[in-house]
Amino acid sequence: MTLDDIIYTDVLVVGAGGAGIRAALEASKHSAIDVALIAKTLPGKSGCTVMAEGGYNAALRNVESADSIESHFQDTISGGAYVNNERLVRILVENAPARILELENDGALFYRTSEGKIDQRAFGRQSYKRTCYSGDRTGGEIMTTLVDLLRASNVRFIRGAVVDLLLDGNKVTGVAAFNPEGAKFFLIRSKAVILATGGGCRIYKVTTNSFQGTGDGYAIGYRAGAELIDMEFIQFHPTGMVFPDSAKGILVTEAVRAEGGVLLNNLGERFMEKYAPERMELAGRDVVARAIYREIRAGRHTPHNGVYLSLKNLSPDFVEERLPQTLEQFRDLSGVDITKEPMEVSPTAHHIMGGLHISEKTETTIKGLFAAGEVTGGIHGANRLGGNALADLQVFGYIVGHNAAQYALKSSLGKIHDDQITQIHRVVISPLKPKQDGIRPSQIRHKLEELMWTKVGILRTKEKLTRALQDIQRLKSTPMKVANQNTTFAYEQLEALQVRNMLTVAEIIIKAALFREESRGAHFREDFPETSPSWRKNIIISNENIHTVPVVVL
Amino acid sequence: MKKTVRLKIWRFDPENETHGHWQKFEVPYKKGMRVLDALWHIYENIDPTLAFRFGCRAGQCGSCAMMINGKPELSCKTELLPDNEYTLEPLPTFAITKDLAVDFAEPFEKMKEIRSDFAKSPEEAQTFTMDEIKDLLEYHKCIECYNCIAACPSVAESWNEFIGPTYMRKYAQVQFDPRNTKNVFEKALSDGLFRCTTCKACVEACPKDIDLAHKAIEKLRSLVVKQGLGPLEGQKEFIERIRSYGKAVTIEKQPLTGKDGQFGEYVGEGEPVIFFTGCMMDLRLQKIGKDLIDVLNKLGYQVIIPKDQVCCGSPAIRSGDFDLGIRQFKKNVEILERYGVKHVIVGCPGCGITLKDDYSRWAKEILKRPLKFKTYDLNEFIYEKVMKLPPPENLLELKVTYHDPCHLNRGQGVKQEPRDLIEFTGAELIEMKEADRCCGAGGGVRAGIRDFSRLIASRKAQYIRETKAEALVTPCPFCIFQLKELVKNEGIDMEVVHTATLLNRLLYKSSKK
Repeated sequence: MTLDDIIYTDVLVVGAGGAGIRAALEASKHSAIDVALIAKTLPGKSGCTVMAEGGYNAALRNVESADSIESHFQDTISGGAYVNNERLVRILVENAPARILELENDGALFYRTSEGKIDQRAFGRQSYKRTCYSGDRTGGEIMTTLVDLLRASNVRFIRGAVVDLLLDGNKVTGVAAFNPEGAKFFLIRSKAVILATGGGCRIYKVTTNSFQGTGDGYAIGYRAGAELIDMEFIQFHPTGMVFPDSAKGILVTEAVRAEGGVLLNNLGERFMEKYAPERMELAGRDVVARAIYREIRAGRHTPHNGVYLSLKNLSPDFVEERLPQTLEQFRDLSGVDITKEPMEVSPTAHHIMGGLHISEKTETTIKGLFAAGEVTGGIHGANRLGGNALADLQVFGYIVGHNAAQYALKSSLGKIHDDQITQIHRVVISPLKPKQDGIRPSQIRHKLEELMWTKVGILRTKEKLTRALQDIQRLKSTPMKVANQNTTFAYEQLEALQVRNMLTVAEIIIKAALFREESRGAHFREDFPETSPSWRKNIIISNENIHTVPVVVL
Repeated sequence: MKKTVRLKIWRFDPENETHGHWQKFEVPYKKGMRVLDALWHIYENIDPTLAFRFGCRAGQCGSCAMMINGKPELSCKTELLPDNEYTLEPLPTFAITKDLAVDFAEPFEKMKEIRSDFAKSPEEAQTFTMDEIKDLLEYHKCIECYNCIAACPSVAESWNEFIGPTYMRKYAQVQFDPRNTKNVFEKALSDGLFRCTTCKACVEACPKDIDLAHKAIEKLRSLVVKQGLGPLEGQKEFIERIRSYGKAVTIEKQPLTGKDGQFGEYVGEGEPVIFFTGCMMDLRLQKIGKDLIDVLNKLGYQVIIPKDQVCCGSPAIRSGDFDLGIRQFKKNVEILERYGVKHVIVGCPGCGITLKDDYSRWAKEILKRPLKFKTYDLNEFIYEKVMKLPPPENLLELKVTYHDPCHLNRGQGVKQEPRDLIEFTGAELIEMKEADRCCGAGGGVRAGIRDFSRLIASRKAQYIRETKAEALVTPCPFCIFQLKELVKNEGIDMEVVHTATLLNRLLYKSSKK
């Protein structure tokens, strides 16, 4: 395999989720710019945007006129335990309304109030009803709109996975990529690169994420020397399915609770009363997840080791209209009729609040490398509000598309350096060839998923984290052996590349979790259970270096 | 002894092989496991070269569609039961990448052509009611899994001439959006809008239960008709006949209905039921009508044949003339409700779905009340009574096979009853392959595009022939018409009969003791 196929473009978007497609569309509006989008599957066929259900937060004030941009801002930073980058939050809340109205102009349809405006519902930890939604398939609605726009645009679609960035001095000059269908490695030379690769919760055994959520962008950026921020903050969504095994971890949207679903332990108690008496089921996700985890750990769990989420107060007609996808999901994947019996749910790894450290212009710390969406960090602080992610993707996807295009208009293509290509051959490509020793990438992946779930989960300790770090280092030095040498559909080679990324991401998360000796938002240390004001700062990791910086305030 | 599941999977690597082969696997069973779980198990533990697609594993991205036991399904949703064997194949219609992974680039790109420019709201905030967007939201649910394309019998004959259900869905989605500024129904027309038989194999295959046949095909046809661009020439003839004398076919012999009806209005003694004949039994396949009446009489029912009943309107409705359909609805409801009898029996599944679905819907929308009668297909109506009868003494000695009429099986959920009734008669039932594959007659296609209709039917010839049966049983006059012609043209020596005819033979035989 040689890196002798070269594609040229001006702006390369990596990832075709909500942020990636939006970025590509915006960049392509600049007529002098060639835009290419690379993704591991056809747009809409992977990633988490298409699975997202609950909603999109925007201070439209269609239902509660007392709502405001300021309130959305305050809810976001208090929900984030005050370590959000306030300037990024400001950008998010100010632009969220415009982006959703644009989506509707482009064909999306959201549910209505009786006056015919976009309806907004209550959602976790929010002071006013500002979550716009389309049934319980809001992400699906957004994706179907974006994919149509993408198909009609002049963005070039490339099938493949980015392996690593290529740099010319201190600026990005392109990427090395791999297409498993044909087992082809190739280069893409580009003036600007936008990482929109989404999250990485597939490092956890129980996760909402699609199979493609392997954290590629974090690892690729890190290896190129970019800074990552807030990597200790992992959101465990309080409610994932628990049975059958096949369905474990699949998202049960917060909308269920927003529409009136209640959480009960096996004694029939509405236990959120003990943990968050004011907000109850709509407390922050970190609070609810820990509450559920504690109930389960105390033995007050359901037959399948979860807690109950009951819709006993809702009529079947209401459920069919507002929660049709949840109804379908439980019926088809576990044989449960949610209008007749309660759901069993349990926390599941969902979202990484941390990621690539970006400026307000969505620039990373590498020139020409931009980022948007879940792969970035700083917007959501220590805990993300439900409904803020879909807004994040459209707001920052829009900004990054224009910024990267403008950068490309003023830049020249960098040079490709042979030593980087040689390095990729040695470190990445050669190990994929047939060999004697090693274990399969899937086996390494399973060990990783298990150790992350048991040692780097909702309640952390120094002891567990330290052992986890040792486990990771052992796994990193275990040679991987790709058993499938077929080139027509070389998925296992892609899996090896993904596992490489997953190990990098996991290690960074553990190091950040060890470093933060306090509890804040989604990061809970049983050995440091208090939130410490002196820890109101962010952890930056890059090039083996870990340090803190003050929180960016307005 | 640990339980297992057996899988038979089609393996083919187009880059390195000239032909494929079957490979069998046995995987450990875990309660609730899906096909996708079994595939992962094989990849991780048995054969690392197995190729298959996946994404969300929750039925929301459409990546994992494949043929499972001959039906297009999402592998992440299809449950596996222990001690069973499942056959897995790639979806037909698309280029195979490898094994179970097909190339979706072509169907994905095809969707690009179907779009319009939407009017932008000047204040950037659109206003709609939930009612206005209810149907649209159903169209939007499509995850482009392409199961419907794989299931469609018209696409199977020619994807060039019939673009397929999900694309028709997109045409409807664009056309009926209140923001739409550009008509797309003409393109839908040239993409084969009238080549759909409304067999609903697509609806059955759709993981999102989108009502493609009615909400996409029929609604678009209705718009085309209103614009004067439809229906097709061959369909205009029956439309005219319904309009002028209330029947879809010409009157060439003494009808079952009418003031000179063959049997009069009240036939036999017993609990009264109404027989809605439909045009085919009334004017063409009258012997079947007689068989149906005899069977009901022998089971203790008095059969009322309303003299002035008219065509149910289905040929008009399926071809897009909803106004004519509504006219027929109003006439027939008045007639059928006149007798104070609750049960209406049909022997034609086309009439069956029309009375059950379209008439119920119009009763709610137009009459603002429910219908005063309930419609039953003959097979479902007599089922329990027949099954409770003592085993017949003089059984039929006949080898038969069975074809599921689309409007009975998928249209009304009546699938097992006819089969049990056949077995009750003593006849040996030999199942044919793809028994529920459409015969091609429905949806106005036989009248409108006869050679395409015959092409769809021809695919069943081999399956029918292979059974070596003496008779082909199917409780639908229209399927009987179509399949009689097929077996004749294909030189297959087989009679084609309605279940009513078979039952009447049995009951006649038994009564002759």
